[in-house]
Amino acid sequence: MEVDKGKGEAEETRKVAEADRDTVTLKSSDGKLFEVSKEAAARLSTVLAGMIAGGSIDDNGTDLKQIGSEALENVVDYCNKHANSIPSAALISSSISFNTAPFKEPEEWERKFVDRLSHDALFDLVEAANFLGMERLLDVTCHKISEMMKGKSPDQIREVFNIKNDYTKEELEEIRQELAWAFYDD
Amino acid sequence: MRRFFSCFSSRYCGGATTSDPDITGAGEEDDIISRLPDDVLSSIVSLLPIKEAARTAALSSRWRRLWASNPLVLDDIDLILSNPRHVSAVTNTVTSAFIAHPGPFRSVSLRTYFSDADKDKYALRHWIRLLAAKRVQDLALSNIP
Repeated sequence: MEVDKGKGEAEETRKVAEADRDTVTLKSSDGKLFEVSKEAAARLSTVLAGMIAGGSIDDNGTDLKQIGSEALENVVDYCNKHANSIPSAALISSSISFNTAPFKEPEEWERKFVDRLSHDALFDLVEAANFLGMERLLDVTCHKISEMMKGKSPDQIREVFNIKNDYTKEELEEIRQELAWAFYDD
Repeated sequence: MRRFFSCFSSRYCGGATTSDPDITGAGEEDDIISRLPDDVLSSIVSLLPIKEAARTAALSSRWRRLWASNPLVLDDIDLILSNPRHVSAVTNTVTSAFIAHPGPFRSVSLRTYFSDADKDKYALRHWIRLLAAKRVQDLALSNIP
């Protein structure tokens, strides 16, 4: 990639080549660099799309100071995998539901992608997706977290996520009364 | 885009937690889910079946209003599958959810069967009134015995 910068002609060629590059380089808060498909980044992240369109992409690595390297690696991995995946028929037609829900079920590879993450990595990825305006990745990660909550009692959910119960006994009783229909087991 | 603008409200989110658990004052007691912004948490809650979504109000004061802060998504198939024999229990739960949630309703799918009986007609009219009052965006109503 080294170019002789002394020659005007070579410089021109370099500029053209970079404008034509099909990847962008992103830099994590801890200074690590990651290459990501430009097309996928622009399609999946409203923030990156804005930066690409606005020309604020740095060829030496666009600074994303809010995102650590582990989360950014996952973001980039997701974008690159997405670039290579073919939308499945399952995304278009839904079998059981009436298809009115705005949320589309994660695809098999997306499921596997989030399943392998630790709690910490998953939550860091949610924050990164939120920051970068990545609607689909946010949906997929939020879906995973909701799966972790499903079928559990409030006590069990608190245990899984270390949520501190700051209610008094009286307040908790008031909520159970107010939402009795939700607590009543049919 | 609302979700985007409220991002990173709480703390630094780098990958430092495994190597330096003490830096974040975290350790085992770290409440990892509460660092997410409210609108992300309410999106998560809205993916739960309606009763479980409402029950998250009991988790902690931060969660109290989350289930009602996101437009309601209700599909009564969750209730029917968990309770196939008690149609009245399903309709009661749906009615209670419609009353408890302030609206708007984003997506409501109902396939509870209503007959020609007066009692059924009344219940269905009640639902339609509630749905109109709380502003439902997408409604799928199927009345097949």
